[in-house]
Amino acid sequence: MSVGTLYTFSGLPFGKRVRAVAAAAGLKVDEPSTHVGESNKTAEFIAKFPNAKFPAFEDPNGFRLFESSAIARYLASLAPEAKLLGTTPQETALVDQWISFGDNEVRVPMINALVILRGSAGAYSQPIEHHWRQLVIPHLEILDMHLKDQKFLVGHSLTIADLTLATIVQQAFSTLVDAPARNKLGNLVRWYETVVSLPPVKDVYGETAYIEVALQHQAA
Amino acid sequence: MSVGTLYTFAGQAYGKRVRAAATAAGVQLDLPACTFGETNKSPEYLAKFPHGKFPGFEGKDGFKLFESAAIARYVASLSPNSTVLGATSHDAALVDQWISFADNEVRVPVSNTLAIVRGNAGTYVKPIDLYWRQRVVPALEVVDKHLQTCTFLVGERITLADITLATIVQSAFSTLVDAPARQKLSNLLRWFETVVNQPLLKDIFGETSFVEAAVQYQPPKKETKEAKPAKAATVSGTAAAAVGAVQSAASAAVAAVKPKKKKDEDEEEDEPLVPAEPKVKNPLDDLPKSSFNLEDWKRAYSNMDTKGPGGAIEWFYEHYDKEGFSIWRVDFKYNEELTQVFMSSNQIGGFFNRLDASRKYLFASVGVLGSANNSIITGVLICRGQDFKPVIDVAPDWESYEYKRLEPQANPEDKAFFEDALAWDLKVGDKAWADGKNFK
Repeated sequence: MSVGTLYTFSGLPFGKRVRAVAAAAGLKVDEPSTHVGESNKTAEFIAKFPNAKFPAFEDPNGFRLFESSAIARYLASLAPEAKLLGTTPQETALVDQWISFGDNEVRVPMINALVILRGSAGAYSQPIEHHWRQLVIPHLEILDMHLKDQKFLVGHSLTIADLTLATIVQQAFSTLVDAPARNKLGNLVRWYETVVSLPPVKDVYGETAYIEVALQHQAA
Repeated sequence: MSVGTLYTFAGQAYGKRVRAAATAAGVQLDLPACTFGETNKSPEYLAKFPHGKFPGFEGKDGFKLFESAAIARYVASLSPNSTVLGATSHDAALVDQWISFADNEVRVPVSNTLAIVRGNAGTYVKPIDLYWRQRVVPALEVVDKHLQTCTFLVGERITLADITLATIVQSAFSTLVDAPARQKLSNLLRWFETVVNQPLLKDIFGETSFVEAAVQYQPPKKETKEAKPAKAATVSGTAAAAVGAVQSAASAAVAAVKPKKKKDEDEEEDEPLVPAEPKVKNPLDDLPKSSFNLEDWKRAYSNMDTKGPGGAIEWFYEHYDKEGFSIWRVDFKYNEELTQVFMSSNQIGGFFNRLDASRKYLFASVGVLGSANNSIITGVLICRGQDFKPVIDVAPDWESYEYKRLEPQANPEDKAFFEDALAWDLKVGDKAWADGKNFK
């Protein structure tokens, strides 16, 4: 029995975090095929989801949600026995903490740097790219240190913090955090490989295209 | 009975969201006075919160938490009867949705734009300012439309979603979303006034300084001269124009950047509500007087040939005081990122701009060695005192570089490295000096 419909497109990291949580929670979710830039701009889509973005979720009773971290948490709450939100209120708070840290301190600087590097921001500026780019690895180092004696981010088992951060780290490992950098993040690499290889979620993460040399701006 | 201690500084938007969440949930917090840049750098704070950011929360049982979104939710959850997190599981999910939207779609573009406009992102580039700036109002329009038929974001009562978004909108209304823009966001404005004027929350939100005209980039009145542009002038066509643009933007950024601005401040959304920075005495001024005068050295370096008899290096060894100063090798940690030589040279210039507050305590000669896509940034620093860190950590990006003590007067290899770096003819492995900058 499907718990609802998820609108996303394959490869979208935000969508992956929802799909990974659904898979880990043992929940079935329908995923119609979608085309970014098309399906999320139709009048019908915007009528349901005013932010006009993927991912978006609708359950069989018409309950609608956008923002991937809200959808992920909601799905996790539908399967309390999977304990994906932590086993105590304090563990739940730590799950929130690491997700917030991952989004604010790793994902945002990484995406900012990539947007500029790829020329999507209207002009290229090395100092501005660098301003954000240089924040990524130091914050991954904080995660690496935390994972020194831990198998998972919170408590002793998998939570949505691991699943969410794995999507962010997957993107980092295939863009800005290259082989030499990964060599210095041994605990993070070990944790990452554990999470993305877990049988329920393996197919969601797919193969990681580990980058050998970090992406650089290509002058025209 | 307080549930714990919240460490934040007056005016911090992230702190406001936690304080308002606690108050709305009827939960009490201890709020010791904290000073940005001091309290969060103290050993006691770093022992609890190793990455030294505000806000931090410590429960009465010693439980520690950072990230304001996590703290706000946790303290609200400690009140069993509160509906601040949503009264039903659907409402709870919608609260999460609007909080996430507020952070991702409003706060991030506002914060990114302000970092660039204020000269904190390395330099000013107008298209990049616009790229993020133009996202803010459309995101607020989504909320405005939702609030056409709702008093609060979720359900019939104030929730953490209203509180969180209100702290972000407060910041937006005092910086980028000006009077004309606010006029078209009438539902949002009505909702905002409702939330920030809730009797229990009024004092936490404080007065909003609604901006009349959106904050814009201010180019400096004086142009600062860039050292040694000769190499850049040989680059042809658009690259030279780009260099010119970056160089003048970098000079502009020198004047626009406040010397003690650290990267954390922008991420902590404290402008414009943070009080003026107190004039902290620099501990380097308390060191015992030294016979080596850094300004005399800078003059000698500028006016004399570097090597050879009667040169600056000879002057240096005659006058240097190794008790009062120290010499360091500096290396960029991420040389694999470096591409064009002129861009790497500009990066050094940017780093030097951000070291401006240590002008009285520092001399540097740093260069790009090698060639495009196969280069390193390395050089030497002469620092007041025996530790590089108090001199260098005024620059937010100081940790992108590694620092190694040199003893040129005791060690022949150090001597060669030091002298070659001063003379701009340093070679490391197969990489020769291609371009450089001096901090003087």
